Amino acid sequence: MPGRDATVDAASAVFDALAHPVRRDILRLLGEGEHTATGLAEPFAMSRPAVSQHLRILREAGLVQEQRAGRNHIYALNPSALLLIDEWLEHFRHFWPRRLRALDELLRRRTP
Amino acid sequence: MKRDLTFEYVYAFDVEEVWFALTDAVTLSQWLMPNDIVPTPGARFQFHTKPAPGFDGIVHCEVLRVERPTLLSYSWRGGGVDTVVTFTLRQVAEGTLLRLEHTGFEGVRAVFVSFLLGSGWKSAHLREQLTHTLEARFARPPN
Repeated sequence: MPGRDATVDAASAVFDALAHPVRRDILRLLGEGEHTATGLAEPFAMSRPAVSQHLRILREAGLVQEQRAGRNHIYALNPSALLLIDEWLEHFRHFWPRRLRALDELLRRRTP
Repeated sequence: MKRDLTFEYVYAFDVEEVWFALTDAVTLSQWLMPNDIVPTPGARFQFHTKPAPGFDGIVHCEVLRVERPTLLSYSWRGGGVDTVVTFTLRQVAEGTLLRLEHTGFEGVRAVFVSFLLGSGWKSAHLREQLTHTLEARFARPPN
């Protein structure tokens, strides 16, 4: 595991990457599925190089990953996103059993 | 990996009694959270809980299906999750078997983006979450 500083730097790269509206829109598009750089350039009416620059920043922040498919570069969200979902799953894994027990106690109290 | 949660619980009470506890706002608030549920398809309601950094404490719900008194399903959105909660009740010898399914977590990419870009994206909580994620991502054995 790297030192704390490396992690803090990485987190700050993420926040810088998120600070630009075009990059947030690119993330939204990638949230629907993977795209090529050309496919991403179209909806923004931007030049390929301008989009590539945004993609580079997103990639360096670890939010987006790039794969080569022949002559194309395919962009997708980073799978580490799964970890955030796992934290929510973990939360509800504990939340619901506690609530269901509370319902049992409530039903028992209500019965004379 | 399937990202759904299922729980079962048997209550020594009739289906009607458990149904009431699921659909009456006052009773529901006594075991789950304060809410203004109306068990009618299409009705929107909210649960209110303690806010946390990155979560305003409000769960936004919309009733999806009602089959009185055995099935209740509503959407569950808040703090970056966009999911569905379904309760099914069945009479068994011991009383009522409640089955709870919390599904929709597999919409990972969209949820990740809404989590990143939702109101909480600048928050300390998200910073913390991202730090965990990044730590995990960079956690590799030394060469």
